Amino acid sequence: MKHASIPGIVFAITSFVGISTAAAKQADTRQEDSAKLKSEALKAEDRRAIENAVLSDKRVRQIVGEEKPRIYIADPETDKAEAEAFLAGTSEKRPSRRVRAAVFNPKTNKAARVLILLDERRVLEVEEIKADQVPFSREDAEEALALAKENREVQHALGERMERFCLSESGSDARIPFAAQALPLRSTNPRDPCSIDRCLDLIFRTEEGYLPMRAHVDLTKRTVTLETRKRNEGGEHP
Amino acid sequence: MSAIRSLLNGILVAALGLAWASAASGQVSRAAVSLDRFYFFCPNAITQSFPTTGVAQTTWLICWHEVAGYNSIANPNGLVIGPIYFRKAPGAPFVRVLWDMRVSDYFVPYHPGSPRYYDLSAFNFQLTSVTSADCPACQGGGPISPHVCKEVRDRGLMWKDYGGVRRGEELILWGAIDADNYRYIQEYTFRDDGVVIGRMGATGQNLPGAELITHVHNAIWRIDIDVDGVINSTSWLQHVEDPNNVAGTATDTNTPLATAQGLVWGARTHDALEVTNPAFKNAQGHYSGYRLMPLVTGGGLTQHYETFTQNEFWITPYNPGQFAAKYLPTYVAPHPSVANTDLVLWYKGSLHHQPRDEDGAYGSNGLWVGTAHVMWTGFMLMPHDLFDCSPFYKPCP
Repeated sequence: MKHASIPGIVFAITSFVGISTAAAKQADTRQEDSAKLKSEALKAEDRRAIENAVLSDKRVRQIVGEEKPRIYIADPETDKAEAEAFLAGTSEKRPSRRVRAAVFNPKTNKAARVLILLDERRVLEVEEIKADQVPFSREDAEEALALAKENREVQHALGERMERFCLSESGSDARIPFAAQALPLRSTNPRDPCSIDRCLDLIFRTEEGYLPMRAHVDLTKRTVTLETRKRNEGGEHP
Repeated sequence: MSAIRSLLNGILVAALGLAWASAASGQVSRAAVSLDRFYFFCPNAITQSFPTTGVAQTTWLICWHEVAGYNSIANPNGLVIGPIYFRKAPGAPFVRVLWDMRVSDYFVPYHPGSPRYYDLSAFNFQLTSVTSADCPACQGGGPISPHVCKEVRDRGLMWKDYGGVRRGEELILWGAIDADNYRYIQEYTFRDDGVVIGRMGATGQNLPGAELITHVHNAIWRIDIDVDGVINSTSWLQHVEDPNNVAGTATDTNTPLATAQGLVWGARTHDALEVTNPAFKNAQGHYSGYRLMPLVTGGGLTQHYETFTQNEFWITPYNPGQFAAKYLPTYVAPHPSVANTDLVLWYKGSLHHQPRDEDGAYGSNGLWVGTAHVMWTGFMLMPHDLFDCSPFYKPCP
């Protein structure tokens, strides 16, 4: 019996090695395929294609105006129902990716929300939104910094080094000795223009630390106010 | 005859080998996930079994990715978890727990009424870099991307009774949003016992020009929960007890929620949301579910003028276009149904930050020197009747 089962074991080992090799090949293929999906972030060419699709859409132009607007593009999301079917093995179709973008024209203060089918680079939906539903971008921060640098109080507070301050990028490891940073701002007080307007606070960091001040910039009204350290204010640590 | 028998033996062994290989590479569960496709769909997949040494009892299958776009209202930036699956025993199927879990926003109002910052939705803040100093190998950690740390570690006691003691283990993924002067740690824990924990840690330099002003860091998480699939229902759980009742009796109530709404958390009544799937029961015949409950540290949960901050819990039906916590009141306004449907839970945690001298002090040059140490708040998703009994307690049948 022992001798009789040897060919069987040899067969089993051969089969198993074959299966393992096939599985290894499958894993290799999987790695290659995965590499194609690895980055969820948009490539530059995707970004350009989305911008072109948005800019050429008549509905978008009707809402925000004819001037070139600012476009704020989110990372892509996969369609959940399609992804579920793919994961369950009930569909061979790779889940489609959709991208949402906000479009804003600072001159008209008009904005739109756009849904784009990324793989076909086709606009699916366009909807008008309020300007306060548009996030801020580096362009807004650059504009805020330029406005702040024109303000006398800010000029006085920053002194001779003012022109050396430039925007730092969130998440960046770049060492910027004189960094300006933007904080998005909203107000609930109806008497505060920032309850409606698009407003940013700018803070300033040197190698020694943050300066104890904020430049409060109303991008809609294009005004700047300097907020400095105040004592005996409500809520201050005694 | 013996040759035929040996051939049959061989076929049997080969079949077992095939079955093993199939189980290892493409097991299909009730929630229907093909592992091959999961790894294809999710290149950042993590498979973690517990205990980490010896025979595996439970296994997590975790997909994660980093979002770093330019529209955090539509798709909030940061560390995103999901889909995730949990296997409660070596022979059990993988069960989906959730599809997508992330922070929707950080809302930071200051005591004077202004400023009021939306530290995630309003700007393209992104995850900052991590190194081995953030998650050292000696602590079970290591960066798994330039922005995300993974730690696998002891989590303290799991149980202790007259018969013995057992310690538990957990896997943690975390990254930190660079919000200029502040860092928001986005931490997600996956425990050996099926528990999921989400936490916000706030640390960094106090606001320039307002270094001594009290403020609140609110984090609002969006949890697209899928208990064994998308057809889920939810109930509001409360412990009801009258302290003036001389009999000392108490009851637990379970109120099914039919429509989208917000709910205020009551500490005295141990309020929690339970999510179940009408087609998902354990071997004891009990509906298996997950319970969402606050992990309040630092004293409490604040409410502010903004309506979306006035509830700790919100429940909405799944909508791929709804990621912004600040619009929650408009999401629930039409009262859409949340019974037997794909639903999304939202939870708000708060950190009351009253500046203290430990945060820092003004130097002789007028600049602020110091950094606020991490404060934490978060939530727990705890399995309820998911297991038939604990696999980590040997006497269990």
